[in-house]
Parts: sequence; C-alpha cells; structure tokens
Amino acid sequence: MKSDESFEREVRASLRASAAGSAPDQLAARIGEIPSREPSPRARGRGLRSFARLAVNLAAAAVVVIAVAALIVSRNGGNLPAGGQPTGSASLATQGASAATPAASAMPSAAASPSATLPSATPPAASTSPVPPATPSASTALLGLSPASVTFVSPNDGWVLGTGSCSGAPCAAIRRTADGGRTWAAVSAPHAAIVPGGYQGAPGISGIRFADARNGWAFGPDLWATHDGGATWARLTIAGLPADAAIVALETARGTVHAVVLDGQDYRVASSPVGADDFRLSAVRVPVGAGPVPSVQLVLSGVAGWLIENDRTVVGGARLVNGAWVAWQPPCADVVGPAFLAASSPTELAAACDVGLWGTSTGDHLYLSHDGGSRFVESGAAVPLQMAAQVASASQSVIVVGGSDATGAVLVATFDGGRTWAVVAHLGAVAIADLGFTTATQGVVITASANGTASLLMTRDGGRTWRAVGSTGG
Amino acid sequence: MVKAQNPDIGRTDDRRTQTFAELMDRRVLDNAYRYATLILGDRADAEDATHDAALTAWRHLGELRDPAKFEAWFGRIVVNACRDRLRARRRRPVHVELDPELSSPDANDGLARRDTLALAIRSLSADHREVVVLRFYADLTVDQVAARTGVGAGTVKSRLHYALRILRAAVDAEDEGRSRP
Repeated sequence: MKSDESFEREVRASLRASAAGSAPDQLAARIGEIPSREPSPRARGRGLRSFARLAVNLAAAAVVVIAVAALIVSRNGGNLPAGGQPTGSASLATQGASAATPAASAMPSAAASPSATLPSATPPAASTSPVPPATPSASTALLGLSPASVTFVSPNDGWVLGTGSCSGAPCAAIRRTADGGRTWAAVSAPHAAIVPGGYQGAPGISGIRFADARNGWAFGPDLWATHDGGATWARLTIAGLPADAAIVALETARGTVHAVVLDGQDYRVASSPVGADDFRLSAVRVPVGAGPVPSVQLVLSGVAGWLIENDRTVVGGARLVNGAWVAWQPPCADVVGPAFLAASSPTELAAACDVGLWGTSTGDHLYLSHDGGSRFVESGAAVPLQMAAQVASASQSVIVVGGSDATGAVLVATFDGGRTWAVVAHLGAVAIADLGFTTATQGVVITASANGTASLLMTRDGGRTWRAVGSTGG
Repeated sequence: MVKAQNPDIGRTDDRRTQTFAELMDRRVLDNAYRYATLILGDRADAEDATHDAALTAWRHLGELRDPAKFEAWFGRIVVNACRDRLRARRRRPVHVELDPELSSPDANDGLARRDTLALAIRSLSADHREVVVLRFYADLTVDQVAARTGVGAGTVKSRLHYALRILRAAVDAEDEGRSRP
C-alpha cells in the first residue's frame, strides 16, 4: 500500500489529467457579453435570492436573477371574526415579503397594521409628486406595470410598486386598488429607479409598504416615505447612519414601522412611529454572514416581530419583545440550510427549512412554533418541493410554501398544519418573488420570468387557487 | 440580498463593466471552468455552471467588499453554481454520463490505474468530490476549503479522510483484480 503522501500525489496527478483545458472561447465570449446583455440591474426588480434558488430547477434558465419584490400583507387569521370579514375595530395583522437576495432577493415577512378603523377605500388625492405627474388615473382592470412589490392594508386597499413607462422610458410607478385588486389606478411614485432588492450598486427602490391609507414607504436600498397616501414622497435618512446606508427590509405593524439597515458589517433595526419619520436604531446587531449573498427577512405580527438572516445557512436573528429588538436564536440554525419564516399571529410561526441544502440534503421541512418563536417543532412529512424560498401563513393550519419541482416553480399548501400537502399552483419557468396572505382567504404572489416579465397573482379562496390579476382583469 | 459594499464598485455601469472585465480575466475563468468540469464531469454542464457563476458575480459585484479577494469570492460562487447543477440533476431523472474526453479507459496498467482513480473520484459523493478537488487540484488549505464550501475545517478534514479512504479502496481493488489471472 502506498503512503498517504504518495497516494495524495497520485490523486493530484489524476485530477490534473482529468481536468479540462482552458475554458472554451465561446464561453469566454458569453461571459464577456454579460455586461452588455445585463446592462442595468436597475431595470430589474427584486427577488434575487428566490430566483437564484429557483433557477436551479429551471434548467432552461441558466440565468440566476430576477426582477421582483413584493410586499404582501396578510391579515391576522387568529383575529379575524367568523367569516373572515373585517370589522371596523378589527386589528389587521399584515404578513408580507421584504428584503431580497438571492437572490438577492425578496423575502416573505409580516407586518401588522393596527388601524382602529379600516383605511379609506378612496384613492388618494391628486399627487404633487414629480414623477409621474400626479393625477390618479381612472381605475382599470389592467395593472399597467411590471410588479416588483405589493402591499395591502385591508382586504380591499393595496398598492403595487413596479416598473412603468414615463414618456417611453422605464420608471418607478405605483398602482392603487380599492377593491382587492380587481381594478387599479395610477398614483404618484418616488422619483427613483426600480432596482433589484439585493443589489446595492445603484440607488433606488425595490419594495413598498403601507401602514394605512396615508402612511407608506418605498425602500431598498433607499428609503422614501409618504404621509398623504402617496400624493407626495420624501427621501429619508436615518440618524446615526451614512446617508447611503442600505435599507434591506421594511415592515410596519401596530403604528410602528421597522426597517432593517445594513450598518457596516451588521444588520440593525431602525424603528419609527408611522407618522413621524423619527427612526431610532436598536442596539441589537446581527452580523453579516460569511457566504457570498446574505439575505434578511423581517416578519411582523401584531406587537411581535422577528428578523432572520440566511447566508446559505441560518446565520442569526433578532426578535421584537415588548417594543425592543433583542437577540434571538432563529429556527433551523443547525440544519445546514436556510430557513424562511411566516407568522399568522404573535405566537404562531411557521418556518420552511431547507435541511442539509449545503450538506446532505433531506429536503424541505416545516417547523412550527406556538410560543412566538422560542421553540420550533417539525410538523408532518417533508414539504413536497425543492428549495423552498417563500412561505406564507394564513392561520395555524393554512400554510403555503413556494419553491420548485421538476415542472418549475410551484406553490404547495397544507390546510392541516403540515400533516398533508398539495400542489396548488404550477407556475412554470418563473421565480417566485413574494408570497403572502392579505386576509385569511386572500393572498398574493409575484412571479418573474428570466426575460424580465413579472406578474401578480392572487388567491381568494385561502390558497387553493391562484390567478393572475391586472393583466386580464383578474 | 444585501451585503457590505465597496463604494468604488458598481456605482456606474461603465465602472462596473470595467471592473468586471478586469477581475474576470482569462486565468480566473479557466480555473473556474476546470474546477466545474472536475466537479460535474460534463463539459456542457461545466460551461453552464461557469456562466451562471459569472452572471451571479456580475449581478452582485457591488457587494464585493475587497476586489483583491475577488477570486476567493468568485470561487465560492462557482462552488455554489456547481452544487446547483448537481441538485438540478438530482431532481431530474437524468443519467449522468462521464465525459468521454475526460476519462477514457486504457489497457495500459498505469493508465488504467489512473483511470480507475479518475472514475473513483467521479463516483464520490458531491460533498467528498468537492473537497478532494479543492484540496488536491486547487491546492487550497483545509481552512481555505472550509471557507470556500461553507463548512467547518473539521468537516473538511473528515470528508477528505473518508474520500481518500474510498479512493484508495477503489484503486486497491483494481490492483487486486489485475493481479489475478
């Protein structure tokens, strides 16, 4: 038997003999053309993390990125009165997606909008914002933009941020619905470029959130706010941070808006009353992980909140307790894969964990917490998809996970807390950018194809069926 | 998602293009492609994985904090791109054929032994093959392999130990077989 050293030399020789020669010229040419083929990440939306994961499945898509991000706001199913109809005093919990990666990317998260009264269904007044000029258009069934982010504050009232056309050139655009997505009207947008959520090389915005009919934010990496329903927008900075500090996630709940900010090598949370633009930094810091593409997800539900950072695997987290962000051990920290979080109430959380993704993969698994995230327990069998990238929870029982199978992107759902699963939507060769519930029965997802087109889909039956809206009248 | 960013990179399209072209030179590209061929055992897949990695690097160039560390940063992206390809294969009912150009049987004993070793390397699990290629082809240290693959140094050592044991067993079996009449 040869010595270890001798055998290692043999292995080296074998590898050198097996290795290919130089990269083919055609490959070098393809790579050299990337900057011209991909001239401006600003033209794309968010969702890099999602697309990177899904692109694995989409063999046709050697491309690894995307263009979308969306906010989804979901109503707290536990607080819903019977029949799911809101009451004037009902507390609305919102769940949505924020922060992008990986893919770069847009991540699901949650926020709560605790209005004592439901937001007005009346479209905002005429805008004075410079771009696009202000006057709300007449409502139409067509969305008229390529969606990047969506937010709802009630079953009827929502906004979509995306790429529209201003005198023939791409520009940030916002559409508002007052009837649950059946018709849309143009309202003013910040004078900013739409950028992929995970890309900070250029200023711009990639996400939108509203707390109520008046107070809203467009963000990622820049931060803009409106306090008049989107009629006017102002660019904000956060005291104590550089002017160009990147906002990577933002959600709002219970009269407070929380933004995750990259401060040097740490993520921090800055919080402000929704009407004040007075952001204060939390003391807790979540260090950036070692992987190439970290992603942060912010989830709010009522007075509770959670921040989780994935950087290929779960890296760290923070939790909102009694109004303060504190260090938190997120779920699936030891599974050698990422975790994606959703909350249907301050105590009910669902985590979709890609167990062993960077080690020995055993697939995606659902973990549930019934105590606000202190303890998670695996529920049921493995989730029947690959590379979960989005999760939304309408209630303790109803959980929808976005990922992919051999056919492409899919949504799978459980209606019994993870005991059984069913595929509820085959979405084809697209990336799922955001997924969430706006009520116990109404939900949203944004899909983006490799060619840059994006679509908004909604469910109105608790996640069982999903249809495109805004393109055909949905 | 978002990462600390070198403000000198990616602020304008022209600068990004120039930076990308400078960093992604032919040597870096060749190394990435060779690594991918060893991991994937298929040149077409290796081309696609290398292209995917380059595209990812372009799109995340603004997140590269230190241009001097581009090669290590890009190396991690290449590792991930290859893993993506391997996972895609697992999901598809695809039978992975060895690239005939990369391993051809030979009657000569010395070459046959080398071919046996090459086949054994290709038969390793993806995790084992990854550390073997990074350690013995890319000549990375155990710590560098750990950083590249995102696992601990102890895991790397363990994987190397078991991989080498598997490879040695394969070669020994081949030697034993050849010695028989």
